[in-house]
Amino acid sequence: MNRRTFSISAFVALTLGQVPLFKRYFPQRVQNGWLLKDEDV
Amino acid sequence: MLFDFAQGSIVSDKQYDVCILGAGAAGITLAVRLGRAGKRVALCEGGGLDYEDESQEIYAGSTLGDPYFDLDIARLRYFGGSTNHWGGYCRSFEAADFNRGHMGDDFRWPITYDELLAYRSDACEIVEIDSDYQDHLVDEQLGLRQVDFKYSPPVVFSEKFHDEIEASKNIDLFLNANFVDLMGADRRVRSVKLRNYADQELEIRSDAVVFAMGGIDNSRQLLWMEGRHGASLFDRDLPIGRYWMEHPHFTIGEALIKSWDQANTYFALTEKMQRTLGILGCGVVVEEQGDSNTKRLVKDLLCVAPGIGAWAADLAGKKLICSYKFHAAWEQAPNRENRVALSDRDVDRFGVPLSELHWTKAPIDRETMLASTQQFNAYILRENLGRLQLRDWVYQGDEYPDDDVLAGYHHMGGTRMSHSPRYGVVDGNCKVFGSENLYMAGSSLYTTAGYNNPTLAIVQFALRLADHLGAGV
Repeated sequence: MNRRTFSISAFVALTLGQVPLFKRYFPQRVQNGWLLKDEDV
Repeated sequence: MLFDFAQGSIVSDKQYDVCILGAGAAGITLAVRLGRAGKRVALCEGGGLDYEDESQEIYAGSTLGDPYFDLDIARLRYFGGSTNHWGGYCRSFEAADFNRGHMGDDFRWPITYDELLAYRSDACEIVEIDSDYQDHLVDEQLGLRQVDFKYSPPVVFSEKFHDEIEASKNIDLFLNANFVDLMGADRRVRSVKLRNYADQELEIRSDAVVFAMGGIDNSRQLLWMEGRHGASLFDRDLPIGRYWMEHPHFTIGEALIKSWDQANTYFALTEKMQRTLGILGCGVVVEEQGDSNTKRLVKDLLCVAPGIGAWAADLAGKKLICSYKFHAAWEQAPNRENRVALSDRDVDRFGVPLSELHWTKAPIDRETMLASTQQFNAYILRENLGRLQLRDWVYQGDEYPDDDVLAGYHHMGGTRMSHSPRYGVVDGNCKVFGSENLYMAGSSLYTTAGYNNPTLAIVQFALRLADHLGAGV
C-alpha cells in the first residue's frame, strides 16, 4: 500500500478493527485510484 | 388578470377558491389547472415579471454543515421561479422510491407510486417532453440498468403561461405581492396578508391556501407562521423544515473506455440490487473528454499497471479508446437533522427571519455512491471495456471536496408528506396536519428524494393537488 492509498481515516478504521468503507466495496487492487484486476499489473 | 402591486395599492374584495403563494413551476401549474377548471384563483408572486435585487435578496440565508451554495443564488424569486434558469433534465420518481418502508418510517410515503404516475403524462406535456421512458436492463446479475432522461427545451413557465394567465377570467396574478401573514382561527385560514416593497398591504380572502414558495421558503414561512400563530392554524410540533434533502453531485473519477455507444447515458441499479446492498438510488455517467486527457490517463495507467497500460496505449494509438469524466448524482437518505431553521439574527425586509440551512451528508449517502460505482465498475471490467480511476478523496475515504459540483440545486423536503405528523408536515393530499385548508406544493413535499431531477415530479404533484382542490371534479 503506497502513501496515496492510505489515509488517516483508513488508519483509524484499521486500528479499530473495522474494514474501511471503501475497502468493503472495493477489496480488489487499487493503485493510484485505478480499479484493477490482478492480471493488470 | 394581472395586477402589479408595485404600481400602487390594490383592494381585493373577491373571495377566491384557492390562493397560491409563489409562482414557480408548482404554483403556475396549479393555478392554470384550477383556472381552466373554473376555479377562482389568486396567484401571488413576491417578485415581478423580471429579476429584481430587492426581491432576490429575500432568498439570502446562511448554511451550516457541508459546503453548499449561497442560498440567494440557488433559486430565483420572480414570476416563473427557478424555471427561469433550470437545465431541463426530466426524470421522475421510480417505483423503488415508494417501496422503502423496510428502511424505516422516515422512508415511508403516504401515497403509492401509481398515484403519482397517473400524472406523468400530463406533466410531460407541460414540460414538452415525450412521456415514453425506456429504461434498459443492462445486466440482471449486477443489477445494472441504463436509465432514460428526457430533456425539456427547457420550458420557462413564465413565458409559456403568461398570456393564458393574463387573459384568464379565473386567475388573478398579483406581482410584487409578498406573503407576510395568514389570518384565521380554529385550524382554518381565512385570508392571506401580502405586502409590496412600499410596505402597502393587501388582504386576499380564500377558501384554501397553498404554499408554493420553493424547497426552502415553504419551510421558512411555515416555521414563521408556527411561531406567530402557535397551534391555532395547524398542529404544533410538526417537523417543519426537517428532513431537508439535496442530490449530492460529484466527479468521482475518470475512465479509459473503449469505443462505447453507451457513454454519456446514465446508469443506475435496479430496485432489487439497491435493496440487496441496502443503499439508495444513484445515477452514474461517463462523459467524454479530449485527446490530451486520454494521453495523460494512458501514461498514468502504464506507470501503475504496465499490462493493462500497454493494452490501453495500443488502443489509444488506433484512436479506439477515450478518456471520460466519471460523475455520480445520488439520493440522500432523509435525515431529521438536515433542516431549514429560522435565523435568530437576520430578518428580511418584511421582518421574517432569514433561512438557516443545516445540511450534511451521512455515511449511507457515501455508501450509496460507492456501492453503485462498484457495480458499474464490475460491468466495465467484466466486459473488458476499460478501467476506472477514482479521485483520491473517494478511495482514501476523505472528506468530500468543496471545489466540485457539490449538489444539484435541488431543494427537497422540509414540509414533507408522511403517513404521520411525527415524520412529516402534510398528509397524502398535501394538507398540513391539523389544518382544514392549508396546503403545500413543490419539492418540499418529497418524503424521499430519489436521485432524479425534481421538476417533473413537482409538476406531477401540482396537477394532483389541483385535482384534489376541485380541478378534477
